[in-house]
Amino acid sequence: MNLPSLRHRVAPRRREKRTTKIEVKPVLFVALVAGVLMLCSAFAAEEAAPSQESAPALFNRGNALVREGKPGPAILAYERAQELAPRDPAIAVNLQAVRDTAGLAAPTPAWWQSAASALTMNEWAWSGSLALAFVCGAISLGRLLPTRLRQPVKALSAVCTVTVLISASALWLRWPELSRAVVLNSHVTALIAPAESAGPVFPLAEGEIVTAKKELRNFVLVCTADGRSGWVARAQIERVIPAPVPNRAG
Amino acid sequence: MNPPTAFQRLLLAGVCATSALAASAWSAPSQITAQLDRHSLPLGESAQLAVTVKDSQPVELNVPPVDGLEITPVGQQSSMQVINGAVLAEVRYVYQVTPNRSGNFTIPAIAVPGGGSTRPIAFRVDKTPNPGSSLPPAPSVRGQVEDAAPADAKGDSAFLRVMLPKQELTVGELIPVEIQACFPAGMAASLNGLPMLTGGAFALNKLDDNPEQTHEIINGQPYNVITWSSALSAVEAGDYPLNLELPVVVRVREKSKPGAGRSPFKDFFGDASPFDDSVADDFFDQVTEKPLALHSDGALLRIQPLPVQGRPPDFSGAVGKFDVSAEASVTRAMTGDPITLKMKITGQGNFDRVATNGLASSAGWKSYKPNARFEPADREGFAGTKTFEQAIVPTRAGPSEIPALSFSYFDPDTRSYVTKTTSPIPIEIVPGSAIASALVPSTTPAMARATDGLVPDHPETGRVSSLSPVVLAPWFLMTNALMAAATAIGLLVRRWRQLRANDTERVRAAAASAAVREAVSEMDESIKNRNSVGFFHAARRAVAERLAERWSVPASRVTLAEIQARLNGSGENICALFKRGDEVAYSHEEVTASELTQWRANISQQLAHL
Repeated sequence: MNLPSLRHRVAPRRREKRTTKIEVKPVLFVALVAGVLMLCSAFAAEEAAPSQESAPALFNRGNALVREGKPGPAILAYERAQELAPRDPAIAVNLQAVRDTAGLAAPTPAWWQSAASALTMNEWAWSGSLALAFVCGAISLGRLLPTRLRQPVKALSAVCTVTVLISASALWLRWPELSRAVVLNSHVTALIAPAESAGPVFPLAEGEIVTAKKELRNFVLVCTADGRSGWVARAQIERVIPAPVPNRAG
Repeated sequence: MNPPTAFQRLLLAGVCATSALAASAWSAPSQITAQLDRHSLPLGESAQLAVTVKDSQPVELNVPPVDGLEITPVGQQSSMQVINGAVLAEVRYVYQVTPNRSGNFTIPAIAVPGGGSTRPIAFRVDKTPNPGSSLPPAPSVRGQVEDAAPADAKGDSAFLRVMLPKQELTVGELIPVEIQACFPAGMAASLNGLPMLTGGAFALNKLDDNPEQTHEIINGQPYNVITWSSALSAVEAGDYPLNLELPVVVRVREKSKPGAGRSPFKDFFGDASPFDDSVADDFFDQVTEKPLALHSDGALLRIQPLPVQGRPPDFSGAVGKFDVSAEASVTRAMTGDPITLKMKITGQGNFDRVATNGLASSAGWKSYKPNARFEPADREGFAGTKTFEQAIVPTRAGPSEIPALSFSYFDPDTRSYVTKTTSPIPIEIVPGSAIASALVPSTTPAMARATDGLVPDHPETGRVSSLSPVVLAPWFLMTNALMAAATAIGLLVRRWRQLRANDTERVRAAAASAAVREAVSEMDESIKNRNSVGFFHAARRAVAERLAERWSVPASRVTLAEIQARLNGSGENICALFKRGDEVAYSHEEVTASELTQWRANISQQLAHL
């Protein structure tokens, strides 16, 4: 008795599956549309973003404020300029000069913090995002590439994966900078509680960099570089990054 | 005695005010100047000495005698002018100076009682006539004042003249110019504006609102001269007249017409009035102000174009004579540190067209656009120094030099282009980095700083961007999260499929189930078609596939003997099926539909059991 073999029956089905996998044009179209939408939304969001500034304008404003005898607002302007142009040596020089004049100690970042500050947060974010997009595209559509291109794409994907990891690490290291604030006025005293009648804890120098931990009504809980905490009036400090900052946890 | 009327009180107040003004005028210090109409004269001729005393009443001047000179008074003239609203009262004393011998003479200082004194005036008397000794006649640049015949002009006319160093210019060339408005002494006139160009071939720099005022003897007549010093530039090539216009207001005295009215003195005193003379008549003449315009003579100037041949590529339109020098803010710097490079262009010419791109970026230098600052050396802005400050950044370490800078201009005297080059500036560049220099500013001595210790402002406005990082934008986070999640899900799905594809047991079971389903379908078709052979053939195949899967053997090995051996007597129904199938196949027996249906149910039961 000759029963039909299993292989002969299965083989045609495999051919059918192969033909369905080659239907990739809709996938590419969707990916293209998604990419265009992402870019459009990026540009739209950039245009509509609050606090549009330029590094030279902030730098020049800082110079003007120094000449007006306002070291606190000047340091704030320089810090913001440095956020936008971290590789401009003139900003660092003037920032150091005004700190020296005001008798403020300059922060001494560790080497990894200096390395993370080589690029702006936006540059890190975009480089990581583009690398992630390349990796995702290579994973999703790599099987459609010609054989001769697969190896270079794999190598490039590996580089992009490393880039994603480095970018994420740099952003994580710099995340506390989003909570930095500058003391704008002289004779500012940190209070023990968020009330005007609360007792003083320690004085703050004009232009000093503090970390804003929490906000309550018109008061902000700040932490100095040496670990002291106290409440100050909201009008007496201003964040370097003016946008509201979520916690690192979420 | 009657009390004074209101008119009398008003008259008394006016007299008191006039007396006070006169007293203040007397008490003001007088200014005295003296001017000789020539600096040298031949023996046998006379020169004219004019001594002007401002803010003074007529006094008796004492001119000291000079050996060899005869100084004879020839007249005295009082005038009061209103120029730009300022009242100027002055008395001019004119003397004739006649030498008796040749030689050098000095007229000593002439003092006025209760005031200052003049400067001594030196002049020379030649034995032979010197044709160039006397002042050249003033150009016949007379304005419309002649037609107006102002009463104070005493027969002379005001005119406007332009003093130019040369008559041939080059397009873009800037030359100093003196514009002189000359009013005969005694003419009452006021300026109604500044001199203006009426043609389009020239451009005139801004004129001073406070021109210089002097007194000159022109053609033997004393003139009040108002001089503006400025600079004139040529705009178009060709032959063009230089026309200037000066609006003035002249006071013109009109004689009273006979019978038009009587003098109030005659009305008061009758025909035997003591004021019945010409002075009193002049006093009651009507004085009117007439706006007029003085025009220059429109001297023809030739403006030559800039030659195209030999024009240097960096020529910016500068015409004149210039010198170039360069200096650096430091002699030692770090790579990445900005250095201020100053390029100074000094000379005379049209500084508004003096421009340079400075040092160009190269392999060793990164340069920025220079800033320019002009410091005029004269009031006209004709001479001065233009300084270009440029920030340059060395990019390579080692002993180096700032390359030579060049500047090209057109020399109108030689009518040729000139390119002047600075000397290279040696400088030592030590290794450094922008980040290091930024973090340690004390080690950046080369940073160009202002006097307040700050790095100067950035000239560029820069690209505007948001201070808020993009990582805080929900759309950015959402897009990246979706991208990563979709890729992760795709990877999981692909892995799951790979695992399923690599499971041979599962694949074989699936294939067997599919084969069984296919065989059962064929059985149903055969029942419909009353095909007994086909029915039992499909039935045997379905059972064989299921048993082959169970026993993990190929379906071809499932025979009746194998079934009997493996099932060990418990597969009676299956064996019956195989036997019945063989009978039908060999005998071609027609099996009824009911029997086939019964077999169908039986086989289904067996398959479910297996």
